[in-house]
This record gives sequence, structure tokens and C-alpha cells, in this order.
Amino acid sequence: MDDTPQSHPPSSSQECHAPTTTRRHVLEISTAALGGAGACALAVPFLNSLRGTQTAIQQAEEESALLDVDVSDLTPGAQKNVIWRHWPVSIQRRTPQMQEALKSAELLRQLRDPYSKARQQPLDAANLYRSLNPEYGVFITVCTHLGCIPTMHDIPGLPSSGGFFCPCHGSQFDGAGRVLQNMPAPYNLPVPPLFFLTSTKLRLGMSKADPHFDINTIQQI
Amino acid sequence: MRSMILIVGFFWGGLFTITPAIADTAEQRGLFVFQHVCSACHGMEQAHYGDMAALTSSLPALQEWSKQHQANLESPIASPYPSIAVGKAANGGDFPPDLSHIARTIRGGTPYIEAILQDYHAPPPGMTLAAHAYYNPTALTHHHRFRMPPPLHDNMLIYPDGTKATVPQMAHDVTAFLQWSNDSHRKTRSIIGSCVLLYLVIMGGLLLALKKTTWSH
Amino acid sequence: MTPPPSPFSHWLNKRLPFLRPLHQHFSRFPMPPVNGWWTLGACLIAIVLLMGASGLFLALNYTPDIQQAFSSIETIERRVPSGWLIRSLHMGGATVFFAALYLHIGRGLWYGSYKAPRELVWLSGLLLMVLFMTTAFAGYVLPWGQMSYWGATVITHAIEAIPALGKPLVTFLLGGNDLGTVALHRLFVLHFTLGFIVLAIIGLHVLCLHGVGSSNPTADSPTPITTTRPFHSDYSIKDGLAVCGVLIIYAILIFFLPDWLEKTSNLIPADPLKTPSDITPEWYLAPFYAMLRAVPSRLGGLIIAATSIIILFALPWLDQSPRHNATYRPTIRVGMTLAFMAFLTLGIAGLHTPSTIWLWLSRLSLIVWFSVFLLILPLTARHERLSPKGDHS
Repeated sequence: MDDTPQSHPPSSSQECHAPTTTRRHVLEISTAALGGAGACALAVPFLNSLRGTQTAIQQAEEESALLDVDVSDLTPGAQKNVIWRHWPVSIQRRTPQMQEALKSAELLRQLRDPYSKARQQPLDAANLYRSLNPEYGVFITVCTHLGCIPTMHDIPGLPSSGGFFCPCHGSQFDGAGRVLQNMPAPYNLPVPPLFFLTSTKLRLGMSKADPHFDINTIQQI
Repeated sequence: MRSMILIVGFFWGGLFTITPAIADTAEQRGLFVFQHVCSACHGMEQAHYGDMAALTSSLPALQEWSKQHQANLESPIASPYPSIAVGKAANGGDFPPDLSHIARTIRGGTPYIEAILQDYHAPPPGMTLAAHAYYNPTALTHHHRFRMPPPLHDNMLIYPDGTKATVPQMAHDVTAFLQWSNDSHRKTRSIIGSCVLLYLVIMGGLLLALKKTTWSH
Repeated sequence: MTPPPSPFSHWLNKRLPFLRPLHQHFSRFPMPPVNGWWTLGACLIAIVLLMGASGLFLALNYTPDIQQAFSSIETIERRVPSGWLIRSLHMGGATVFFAALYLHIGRGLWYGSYKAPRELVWLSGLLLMVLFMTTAFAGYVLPWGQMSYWGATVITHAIEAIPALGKPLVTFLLGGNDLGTVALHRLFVLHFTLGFIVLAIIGLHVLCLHGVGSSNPTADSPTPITTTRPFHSDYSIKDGLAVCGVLIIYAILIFFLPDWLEKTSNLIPADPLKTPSDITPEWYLAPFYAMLRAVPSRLGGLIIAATSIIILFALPWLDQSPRHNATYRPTIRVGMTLAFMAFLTLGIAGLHTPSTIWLWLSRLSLIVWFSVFLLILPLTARHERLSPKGDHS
């Protein structure tokens, strides 16, 4: 706070007694401090409103989301996409050749995380197929780099395993959603928690073998 | 400063932390009555199933309730009738009104609601009642020939907190719930309001003292 | 003299030469001995800033669509964190704002603040009032409750009464003939844009004032005070105190009388087939609503309501007396008191159902309003100009 300008005769503070000046100084500082605190408190509801509508409810709603998918119509080699919790999920029925290709040493050498050490899948999918049943590959097709949606595209020069290619920055994944080395994407594609209700019907949203698996706590989605 | 911390706490905590832990409040029991009685005919369109989380600590139970109505926590508590016409036909020509703001919009307000729920009687001699009409001396519509069947009966429900479900008790509870639905932030608002007023009065006092000091020379 | 400038302010002042004028127009701006009524301007600025902030955050959650507008407001009230508080700030703000605005204008009328050399201050202020009324009207439609819808219906039909121009104007404004999503979207954009336009015009209003300075209410008194005090910190603290007082009223309204701010019928979604039986305008538009009703002709009512404001624009030329303060002008003192009472009566009449007594009270008030500004004021001014000595009888 400035001192009172003394060009105006009625408020010449130099003529004031010292106690008045001190008292005034204390008042000025406390008013400014309290006013500042009030302004900050006023900002709280405005910032609070930016949190959006009831995220807890939305989260509870999403976390409990179960999706049953019938895969009886998938012929070997065919693939279908479903939406589970606003994420695209690719379900692929693998041919025996594709299953073999996933285990080939030539492929494993080129992968960043061939044995699924990073927590990107429930425990029951932490195998060479990254799936409960080697015949069905189920992946959340959201690139672990910057969130684009990869499309089906095999790795050039290797036996077909049903790979994924991200159009944004060229990350290449194999048919088990494992990213190749020296790609922008740092992790394998996430595997959603799931189990088979029947041999041709699976339920997304819960893993029987790994009930504590939480898709929100994986490395990257 | 304490008041400021309190305000900040209230904002960040949101409504969820204010839910009392021990005995159920009238609003909470009222929600129970609404879930099991009122919602059979009435909607509460402006509220979502998830909004009731402010009155109950169990989200899964709410989710279960919403699923029974082919809805989820983010859907409005819609009228059970597929259309106005169907609702009218099922209730003798009057569509069961939406309850979102009924505590405010109904003539007579909450005292009227609480009274009308308890005031069903056999018609006086000489009065004949048509189908879908029930004698209720409190009712302001249709010359006391109310179109809502008596909704409450003693012990029709078993309250989770053990309160005896008498008609006056349930009428009181559901009225409190309807009042809450009309104005969910009443409690928070008066607490914040008191803090704000306290702050402004102190601020005003300081400014007044400062003004007097400044203007005294 | 002034404290030595810090190196930073010196650096800034060289590159941004606005700093010095700002200093002159804020810190050292010389203020005549104005009284407490002069603090209302600062209060209005404080409220308008709160309105702007709350409006901005409301707009983030509002949907201008007739199917979703009502429920988006309910979402703000029920589900957006602190949404109810932001919305009540905005709703309560309108009431406190217009109360302060009418007092501010009344102060200008009483103390002759419209006169030379402050014509531009007065005219920009009246322009602001008209814009605020438009903004308030457009804003009131947005929640799309029963009052919103029927208020908009009544106003659009009033505009339609303008011969030849009315119909095309309404079509142009609403993007069709009926109040639908297109109209609602336009009213939303109008409301939102006007919010920023008024901010700019407030700047102009203050700029006009600082060109000539505040008027001196003691100038006409037998013992005029000619000394000035610096705006900061003498008047800034006084303004702060007044702002604090207004905020207390504001807080009482939004925290303890919320039902009074929102009409019951506006809690019911708009229904184009049913007019609410308790339809009344917001209190701050009630005087003009009473004027519309007082004249038994649609066009006549519109003309009267419009003219009642237009004559205010002409005041600097209707009253060319050198004297400002009504306190020291016996006829004007009576005249202004009558005009204020007429405005108040019109406001009360506008909130009541138009029974015979209220209709005639409205008509009487209108006669008073027009005769004060069109007869008493010019005639007295003429008389005062002819006898410049003035008689303080």
C-alpha cells in the first residue's frame, strides 16, 4: 500500500501522531490480508466446479461395467470390435498358424516386452499369447504411446500373427498386442479383465483368476 | 481463518462426507419410502439415481435399484409410465406429477404433503366415490376426491435403521426427502452462508476502522 | 511528495506509458466532497465482476437447447460441484445489481449528475441500463422454465406491436416465428456477448467520468466546499466499505432467502400450452411491465414504456439550469421525490395482478413521471437560468 499522497492538504500524514500511523498501518495490512484471503476463498467454488459432474458416480458406473460378447460367429482368423467402457476392444480368433507365429523366436527377439513383465494384463493373460485361451486374443486397441487407435496390420517380413499398427506415430504391435522394439509406444496393448462364460461367450469387466486386477492401475492406457 | 478452512473443506469434500454415519436421517428414511412406494407411480426426472448417493453410503445398492428400472446411476429417475396417456389412464385421468420440486411447486408446500399422506378416510355418508377416487379431506383437488390411492400403511416397510414404519413416521420422512430433492444444498448453504457473513462482518469492521482512521485527519 | 518510483515501475513506465495516467486517475484522482451515494458505482463494478465470473462458469455447463436447457440447469444445481453456489451468485447478483443500479441512477437524477459537462457520463450510463435490462431479459429466458418461456413470449409479442417493423424484427431475432431452440440459442449468445459488451461500456462510462471528474454536491449549498481528497486511499476505502455492505445484503439474499430469488413457476419446465397463473416479471423489470399494462393499447404501452426511458436521455438538454443538487432546488426536490415515488409505485403495480386500483395508480404514476421530466424540470430550469442569483427559499 502506498502512503497517502501528500499533495492533498487534508490528508497530510506527516502531521499525524506516530500511534495513529502505526494503527493505520496495522489496519491496512490486516484489511489487505483478509481481503486477499477472501478473494482466494471465492476462487474455491469456481475451481471446484471445474471438476465436472460427479466423477465418483461415473467412475462407479464404469468400474462395474460388464459386457458379454458372443464370439460364436467368429471364424478362425476373423476379428470383431466392441466398445467396453468407452474403449475399443478388438477380439480376434486366431488360426493355429497365428498361434504358432506368436511363439516364434524370431518374433520374440524383436519385442520390447515379449514375456509381458509390465502389468498391462491380468495374471491369467501374462503368457506368450497374452490371452486366457490361445485361440482368442482380446486387446484394448488404444496405443500406449499417445492414445490413437491402431488398425489390424501384420509385421512386415514375419509370419502373420494378426498384428496392429498405429497410424499416428507408426508403432507396430504383434498379434498378442506386444510392441516391437524401438517403437514410440512404451508398453504392450492392455488386455481387459475377462473370463469365458461358455466356450464361445466371454464376459469383459472381470477376471476370475485375477479378481483384484484394476484396469485403472495398469502401466498405460 | 478457521471458517475459511471449514468452507474449503466443505467444497472439496462435497456432499459425500457430510452423510451422517449412525442413525438414518428423515431424508434417508424418506428415500427408502420413495424407492419402495412413491416411485411405483411417480418420477423424479430432474434427479439422477446417482444423486441419491448423498443420502446413502452404498453405491452398489443404488446401482441395483437403478438396474431394476432399466437405468444406471447417470440416468434420471424417470416416471414408470411410458407416456402421459398411459399414466393418466392408470390413475383415473390424473398423471402422477413429477416429484423433483413438488415440495415447492405444490400449493401448501411440505405441510400439505405431510398432511395429505395421512388423511385418507372412509367417505362421509352420502358421498359416492367414482373409481380411482379416494376421500381425503386435506386434498385441495377434485373436492376432496383425491386421485392418489392411499400410499402408506402401518408397517408396510421395515426401515433398515429399525425405526417403526407408522403412517405418520413415513409421511414425515418422505416429506423430508421431497424437501431435500427440491433443495438439496439447504444445510451446506446455511453453513457456508454463516461463514461468509461472519467474514464480511469482520471485513466490514476492519474497513470501517480504516476509514475512520484515514478520514480523521 | 510521492514515494520514489521503484526501478521496476520506472522500467515499466518507460515502455507502457499508461502507468502514469492510471496513477493519476486512480491514486491521485482528486475527489470533491461527495457523499455515500457516490459509492454505488464501485458496488456496481464489484457485482458486475461477480456476475461475469459466475456467468462464465455457468456457461461452461449450460446447454442452449429447448430439450436440454432445463435439465442442464438442474445438473448445475444438483451435480456440478458448487454449481448451486455459482448459480445463486448469478441469480442473486441480478437483484442486487439492479437495486444498486436504480439507486445509482436516482443519485444522478437528484444531484444533477446528468448536466454539462457530464452528458456523456449520463448517456453512457443510460445506455448501460438499457443493455443491462436486455441482458437480464435474455438471461432470464435461458433456464427455460415456465416463467422464462412466458416472459419471452410476452416480450416478443410486445415487440411485434411495432407497426411494420415489429414482425420482421421478431423473426429476425428469433430466427423464426416461435420460441424454439434457434431462439434460445440466440438469446444465449446475446446474453453471453452482452456481458462483455457492457464491460467495455462500463470502461467508457468510467473514462467519461474521469475526463470531467465527479460533480460536487456541495457546489450549490450556501457553504460550498472546494477542497478535494485523493481517490486513493480516502475514497477507495470508503468504496470498499460500501462494497462490503452490499456484499452482506447479497450474501443474505443468496444464502438465506434463495426461494425469494427463484420463482416457483420457473422450477417447472416450459410448457407452451399452459401459462402460469402467477406470471409476473422480475421485480427490476416490473415498472416497465406496469407501463405496458397501464395503456389499453399494445402499441401505446410499448411507446409509453420506451418514451419513459428516452426522456431520460434528453435530460441534459431538458434541464439546462446551472444548479445541480435537488436539495437546494425546492421545486426539483419535490419533483424528483414525486418521480422516484412514481417509479416505485409502477414497480409495485407491475408485481400485482392488474386490478383497477393498480391500473389507475400506474396511470397516475406515468403522468407524474412524464410531467416531472417534461414540465417541472424544464420550466424550473428556465426560471433558475433567468434568475441566476437563485433564491434559497
